[in-house]
Amino acid sequence: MSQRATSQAVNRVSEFYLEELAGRRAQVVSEELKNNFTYIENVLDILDDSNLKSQETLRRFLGKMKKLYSLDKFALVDENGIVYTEHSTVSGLSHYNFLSEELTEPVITTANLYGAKKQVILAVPVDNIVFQESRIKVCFIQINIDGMLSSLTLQTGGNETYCSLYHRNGEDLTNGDFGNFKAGNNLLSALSDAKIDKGFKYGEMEEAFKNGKSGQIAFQYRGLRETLCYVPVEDTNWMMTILIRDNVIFDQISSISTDMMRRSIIQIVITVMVMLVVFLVLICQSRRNARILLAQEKADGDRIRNAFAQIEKEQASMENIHAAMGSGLWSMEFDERGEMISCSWSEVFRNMLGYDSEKDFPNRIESWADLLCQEDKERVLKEYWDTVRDYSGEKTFDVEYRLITQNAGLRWFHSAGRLSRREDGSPITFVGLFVDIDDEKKLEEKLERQKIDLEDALAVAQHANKAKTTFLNNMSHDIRTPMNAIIGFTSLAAAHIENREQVQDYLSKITTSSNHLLSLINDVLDMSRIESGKVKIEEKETSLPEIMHDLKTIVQADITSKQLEFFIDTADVVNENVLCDKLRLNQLLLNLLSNAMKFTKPGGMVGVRIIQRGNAPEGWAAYEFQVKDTGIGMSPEFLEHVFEPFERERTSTVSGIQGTGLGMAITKNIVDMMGGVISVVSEEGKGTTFTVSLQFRTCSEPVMQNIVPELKGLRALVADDDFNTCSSVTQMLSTIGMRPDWTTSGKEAVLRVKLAVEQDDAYAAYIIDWLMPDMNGIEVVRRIRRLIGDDKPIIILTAYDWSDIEEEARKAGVTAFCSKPIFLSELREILESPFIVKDTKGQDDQETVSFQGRRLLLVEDNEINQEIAQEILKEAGFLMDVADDGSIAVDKVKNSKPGWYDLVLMDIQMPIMNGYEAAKKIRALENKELAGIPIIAMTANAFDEDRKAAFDAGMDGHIAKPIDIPKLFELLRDILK
Amino acid sequence: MSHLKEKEKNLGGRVHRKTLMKAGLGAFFLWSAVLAGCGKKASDELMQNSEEGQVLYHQNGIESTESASVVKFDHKLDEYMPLKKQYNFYFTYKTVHPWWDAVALGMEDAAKQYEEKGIIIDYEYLAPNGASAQDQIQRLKDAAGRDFDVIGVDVADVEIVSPVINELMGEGHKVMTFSSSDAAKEDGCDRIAYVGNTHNYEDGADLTRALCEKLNYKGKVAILVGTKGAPCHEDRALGAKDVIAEYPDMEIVEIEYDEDTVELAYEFTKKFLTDYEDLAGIVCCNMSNPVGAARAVIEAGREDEVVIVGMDHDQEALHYLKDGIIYALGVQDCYSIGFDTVQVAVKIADGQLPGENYPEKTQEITTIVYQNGAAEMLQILYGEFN
Repeated sequence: MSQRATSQAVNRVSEFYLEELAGRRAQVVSEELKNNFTYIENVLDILDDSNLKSQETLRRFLGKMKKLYSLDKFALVDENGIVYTEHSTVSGLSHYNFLSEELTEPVITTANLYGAKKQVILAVPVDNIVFQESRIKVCFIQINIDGMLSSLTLQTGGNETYCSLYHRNGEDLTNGDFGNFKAGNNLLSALSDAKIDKGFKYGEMEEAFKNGKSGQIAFQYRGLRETLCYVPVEDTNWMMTILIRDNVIFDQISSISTDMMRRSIIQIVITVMVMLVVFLVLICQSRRNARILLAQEKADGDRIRNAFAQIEKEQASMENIHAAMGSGLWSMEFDERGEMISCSWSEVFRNMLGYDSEKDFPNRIESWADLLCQEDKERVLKEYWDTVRDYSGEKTFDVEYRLITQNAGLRWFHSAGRLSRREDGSPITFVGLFVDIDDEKKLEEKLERQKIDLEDALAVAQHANKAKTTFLNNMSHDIRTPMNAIIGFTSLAAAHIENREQVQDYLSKITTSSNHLLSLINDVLDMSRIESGKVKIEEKETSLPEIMHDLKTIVQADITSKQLEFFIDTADVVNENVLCDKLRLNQLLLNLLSNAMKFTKPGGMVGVRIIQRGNAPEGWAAYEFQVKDTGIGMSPEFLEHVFEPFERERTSTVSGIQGTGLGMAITKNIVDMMGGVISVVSEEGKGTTFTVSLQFRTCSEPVMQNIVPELKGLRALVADDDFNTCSSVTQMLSTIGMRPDWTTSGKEAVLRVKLAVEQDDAYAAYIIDWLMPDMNGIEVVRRIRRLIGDDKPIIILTAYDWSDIEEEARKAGVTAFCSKPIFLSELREILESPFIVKDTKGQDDQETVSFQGRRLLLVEDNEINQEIAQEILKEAGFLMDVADDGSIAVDKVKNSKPGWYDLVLMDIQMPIMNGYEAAKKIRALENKELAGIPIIAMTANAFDEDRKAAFDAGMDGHIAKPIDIPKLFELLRDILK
Repeated sequence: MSHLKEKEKNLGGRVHRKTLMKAGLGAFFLWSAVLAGCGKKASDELMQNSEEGQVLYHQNGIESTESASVVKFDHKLDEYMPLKKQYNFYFTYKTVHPWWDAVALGMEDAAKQYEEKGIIIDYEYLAPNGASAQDQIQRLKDAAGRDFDVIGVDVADVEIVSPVINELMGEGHKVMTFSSSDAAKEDGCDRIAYVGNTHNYEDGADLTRALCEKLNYKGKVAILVGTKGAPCHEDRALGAKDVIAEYPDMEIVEIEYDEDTVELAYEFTKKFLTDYEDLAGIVCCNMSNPVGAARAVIEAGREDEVVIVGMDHDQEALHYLKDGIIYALGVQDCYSIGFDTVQVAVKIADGQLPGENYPEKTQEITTIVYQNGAAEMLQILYGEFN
């Protein structure tokens, strides 16, 4: 009977006891997890730009947070999978399984750290944080699971009650044994082998685990009867489990109950007797003392009432003083461990913040800390905690900062406080005062702003003035220099007119100086027109490959003459035809490239790269044009002004390099007009990189990305000492289905070919750079040909003019030449018909047009210009007729036989009738043949709008004065052919 | 190099037992594996001769044959007292890959233990997403421009990277190599020390020997190497070729470079299976290719015909081993590589040269694991108990 009662007691005790234990512990775990998520949010809130300045500042911040919240790890993960922690920056941590996919909501998980102890991981997705140009995507913390459970465990001495955590599938989440269940064992699997007590079912428990329901089960496992209670942990897939052995409770309750019975009887008898005696004594004594106590209590009551009244009066006065001063009190109390146990804000302070009651602004430090302005938060909290933790007691709390008030937005406060401390330095109370200093602060800020504005305005004015003075000085110098040369050499030529050789030398120098003077004037005028808004961007269908090849052709001569190393390549360009202002794009690239060449010494490197970025909206394409050099570079001070007009780091007098200081300003203006961005990175003595980012509308389908069936799976070898070219060409080859290999060494290329031949897996195509440092491309081709024979195509890829070595290269076995930069469309074209000997270099197959006997009507009012033009054109074989103004020209054409004049060269600004009007009248002639005569504007009106006006008037061409003779002849040839 | 090789059967698995001796001390440390189904191998080397400098195996000093394990997680820092309170290291390795993540865990553990002693180890451990010697030399040059106490590199290509290491050493930087690939003095490299696997050739040879025995020394074999130029992959492949050349009835029919990717390994294996209907075995020389090979063999339904041996501890590969698709895997102790790399870096940073405090090459173990050891490996490495 007694045994059964004890057994029932055991069951009841187990049931209540375990349920209570498990429930509380599950709640503790759940609370701890929630708290930790709150910590993460708090940390992300206070993380600001100052923490993201560098790796050092970020590490310092993460370290502080890790310590503050006693975590095992506090980490941020960027979009490249790089994990930043207090002491490390590590890539590719595959053991954090939640990093394998995009995190969209907070997760709780455990990490199997390669056999090391399991740890709890809490991760949250992150937005809007960028560190070193990479987006931070995840923030996670790592908590030692054993530490988390140690405070919950009950295992002491012989008291065998166990606590553990399992996943709902039974997987062990901890690192230790759970009673007889070994660490790492699946609880459900283990229990399936146990003998389950009557009244309990294994299936019910399995179902409860699956659905996250609470329950209990009693069973016999490894010879011991035990009861297991399980409770779900809120917001997780975890189950908190408590295990107690029946024998423990049974033994304890049995022994306690027997012992208790015996002792109870004795105790009851003794107690009753003692109580009777004591009761009688007490009654007598209390009656005697009651009278004395009554009198004392009355006196004490009066004294306490008076003291309270006095305190209340003093507090009221103090509150009035603070209210009048606009200041409020606060106080905090700490226990022996330095933990805060209470916090109190005065009503005045609450009112200052716009809160009426303690309910709205509770007596907690977070009430105040949460209202701190983000910019001030870290500084103020640091100051606060530094003061509290300064056990030396030397530090005082005295800070100014902004708080978010209920009704008045951000306001400035001054806060000061002092701590009283115990003997060991630990804090007892922290009392202080808030003062609203918003008005003073705003006045100060206003004055400071005004002062800065005035200083800035003064500096801008002084700078502009100085820049313009410098510009005028430079211009004076730069114009006088070529002018001096022109005048000087003209005099010298006149003096030595008999000496043909000397005169030719003088004329060549005059031409050089004239050209320089012209570019100087062009720059100044261009700048002036841009600034006055006269320049418009005209979008036309443009081929980027054409622009890049033209660019290369234009600079090639200078590159060669300056002995520069030249790189030009592309990356990821799939839209090769776009709508853009070709002229202006050319101009800006040429400006940047000319600059790069100008400031790079012989032997240096100049490079151009075009990269298509994938961030453009539909129907648009985004490009990055990079122009890089290893030239003299710029100082950080000058970099700030590089795009301002009239700025030059050194005057031409000092540097020996001529320029107006307008090139970069013009470039920047063009980029702005095209809606782009230009940036520059430069280091003195090391070089400069300009990057222009532009978006253009696409005007054709992207270059075909599909695989070329004939080339699919075939191997190709790319050899180029420029890694970027290797990378870009390799990618293109992969796109069209080939299996490319690459190397930056000519020797290695030969070795690879040998290996491939030996393995009977030879390359089907070879793309070899001409100039490589360890072995030149021609030699590489010669050696490869010896290994592979003649049937496979070998293409030489180069940024230089290959005409000098073409013959030798063909003999060595080169199939074709290809000019850098190479675009996907060009590569496709070459490889789709690899055996056709072809060059991508445009060969001029100009049709020869003879000028001999052709008759021109020159319409020009200026006699000198008439003379110059007549001399040039007659020398070329033309028969010349002249008209002094538009009106005469119209008459001459009207009265001529059709075909008499082959072409009219028309000046624009002329007396009586200008060129536009004359052209219109000619086009309006009744005789269609006469009306259709070709007319070319030859004018000093050289801008785009002048050119447009000429075409609008019906003219067929436009050539600017001063006349560029080759250009004039080219235009005449084009029109007359 | 002289190698001592022993073989014995243990609980149905083949056991390779290697012994070693620490030069200078002249003491032998004999150890062997007794884990069910596991074969232990530190290296074939019994004793490092004087020309090659000192070699210290990771399990040096273990006298009991019972205590050897595939991966040691119970590391404690040695008694060396660092001279500084804070160190800053830069480590770069071949490519982002789970194999190197395991090395990272060892590093993290070492840094933690130093922190408990009041010494802060700051470090960067970074790699590109695809192996590239050019990328690696750029990273090394960038690191040289920053203020690191020691720069560590897992060499992507000895010929390309060694000149840069020498250049950095010439500029006064302290450079070590670690992990899977060394560039040693004999390669013309001036690096200070190496921590990691120096027995890749033997790993390849021993795995292949296991394969040959399983095939009764007959049949056609294909080899999946990995990355062209990567010393560890090439050395293992060389070991495999040399062993197969010993048996006249065996033939290597294909050798392919899969760039250490599962996808290429899978494609190449599909091709092997199509081209050679009587293919008997595949030797896989890196962590990715046994997975790719196993997938292709299962897809072709030829898992009973083709014997696969491979390297490392990929979780999927261990499952194939457990299921009998893969015959044997050579598991390297990456965790110890990471732990010892940090210990050696601290000593190098303090100006210690190889000698009394640490050897020029700290060598870690590789263990050959068979089917009946697979479950235990999954449990140890990934916490899988079922």
